[in-house]
Amino acid sequence: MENMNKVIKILVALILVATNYYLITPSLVNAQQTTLSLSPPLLETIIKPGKSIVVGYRLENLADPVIVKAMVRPFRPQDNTNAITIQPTLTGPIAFTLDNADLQLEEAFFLRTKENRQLLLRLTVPTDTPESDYYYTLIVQTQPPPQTEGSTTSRSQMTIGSNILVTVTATGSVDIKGKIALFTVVPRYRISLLGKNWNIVDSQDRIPLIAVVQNIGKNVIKPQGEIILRGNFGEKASYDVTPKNVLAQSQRILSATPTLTVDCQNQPTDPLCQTASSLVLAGFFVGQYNLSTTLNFGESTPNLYAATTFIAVPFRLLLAVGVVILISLVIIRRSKKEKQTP
Amino acid sequence: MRKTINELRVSGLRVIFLCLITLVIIGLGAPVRAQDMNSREYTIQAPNVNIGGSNRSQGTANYKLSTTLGQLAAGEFQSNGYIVKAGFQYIDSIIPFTFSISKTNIDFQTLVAYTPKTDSAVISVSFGSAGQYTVTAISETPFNNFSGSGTIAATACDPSYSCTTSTANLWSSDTTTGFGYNMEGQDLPTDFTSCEALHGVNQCYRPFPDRSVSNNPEIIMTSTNVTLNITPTPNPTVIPNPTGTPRDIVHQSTITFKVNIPDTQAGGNYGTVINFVATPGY
Repeated sequence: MENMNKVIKILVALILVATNYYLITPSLVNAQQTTLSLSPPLLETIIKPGKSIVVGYRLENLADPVIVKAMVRPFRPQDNTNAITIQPTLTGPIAFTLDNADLQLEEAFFLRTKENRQLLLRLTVPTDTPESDYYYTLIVQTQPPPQTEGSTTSRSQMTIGSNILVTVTATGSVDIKGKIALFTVVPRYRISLLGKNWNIVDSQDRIPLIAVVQNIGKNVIKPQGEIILRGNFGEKASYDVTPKNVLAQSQRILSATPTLTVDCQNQPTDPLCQTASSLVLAGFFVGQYNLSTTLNFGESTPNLYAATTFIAVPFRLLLAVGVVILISLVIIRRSKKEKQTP
Repeated sequence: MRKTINELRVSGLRVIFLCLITLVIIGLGAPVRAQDMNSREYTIQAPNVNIGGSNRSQGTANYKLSTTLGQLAAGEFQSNGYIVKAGFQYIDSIIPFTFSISKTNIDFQTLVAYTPKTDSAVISVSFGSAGQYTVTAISETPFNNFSGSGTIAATACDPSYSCTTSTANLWSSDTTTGFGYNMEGQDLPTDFTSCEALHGVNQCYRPFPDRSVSNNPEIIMTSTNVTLNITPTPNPTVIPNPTGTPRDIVHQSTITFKVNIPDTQAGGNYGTVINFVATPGY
């Protein structure tokens, strides 16, 4: 009997210790974090009416478990950079479905931490689809967290997208029509003289170049080529144009490499951080320089040409030399006067 | 050998005691796991093999294809009637486009009139295979209370420093009410950076665009051509060789939500949903 009482006491003590451990020990609580990755980031297809393709996307959840749903929405370019506006509802002739047995578009599904899902997106082009380009975004959207009782909250919903560019053509030929809408440097001074505009820069200036291509055709184009800088003394530098898509009936600023990059986070007021440019030239320039570009949109397409010039004058250097000469003259005069006075 | 009742009781208690200890030990260390949600119908195995990129000419001569292989469903596959390209031809990378928000529930708790409350979250974008991206924000619902009798208005910033959904401006006064956000970090719109240069860190705010009044989402982070690892030395007499090597870099910004209410604000708990949309370029 005495033994049993001892055992009961130990048992009660153990239960109390265990209960206290769970109740008293504070557990680490982390904020709900959401991280999703989606690949490929871009899909381009040229397809005949009446055909259908399946594309595999990989969706991965790298943070807390979430409920997500996949959707497809049309988009249009917002400006001449890379911004887009996603339309709120699915329109257009192309039909999208998921081939996954357990998933459907517009329907929520659970994605646990570190889970990978393959989304098998089927794209069907009906036979009566007009020949044209159609632009869509596959988006995966999380469900916002539940509202906290008794609090005022702002809940975040996260959406990640991947763009789909569809060119529908029955014959395989596409309408490639582009032009260089703008090719100019942003100089320190622009002077109109003798019926011409002269771009004047300081020799040490960083010189932004803006090159804009306009797509006046019905299908997406991809300009490729180079920008050449030639100086008066035979110097030459070439810059490769990055082949980016210019959507039908839109404009886009080109980009070329290598270019000067500016740390806009630490120098937010730098003028180069305020406007977009294709290329920023840097170095020590003297005299007249000619910048030209030759672009094409693939094999058997005509070359487009544009050029601009700028004149680099070493204003700052001349000013510094002038000041030095002036100071030297003053010193020489004074020393002469001192010598003349007995 | 027959045991007495007392002996049986003691041995029974010993068993219970051992079971309890075992349960406690198991309970202390056992991780909680979510249920496996794999499909029973089939398993798709899609190895991600990086086998390089290539340029190929198409017989039709109207277009030239250039592909980047190595991504899931990547590269070019051609069949009768369609051609598909996945990924960006100028970036040879299999790093996926990734978007992250460090905190999805911004809890202001109980609001007091003319006492601003703030809370922050970190927004991260990794764009190894995208090269360029845009993050936009929009309020999907007005900042209403649950009874529907009150709304916290979007901030207009301090008097004589008016802000809009696309123009950040100064909001430092405790008597200025409303709901808005500040951005600090990388790839910010120029209105935030120029306002910050003028008024200081964490002083500039914008109201969120509102879907219920047909506003468009507003860009809060954007960047182009940031993946290529290129030496920035474009002296005209030297032609540097761009490596074009993609970097798995993560760009981050901190969004600070701020709310302040007047003393006329209807009581109750308020809530709103902000949708952050990250898209790679095209």
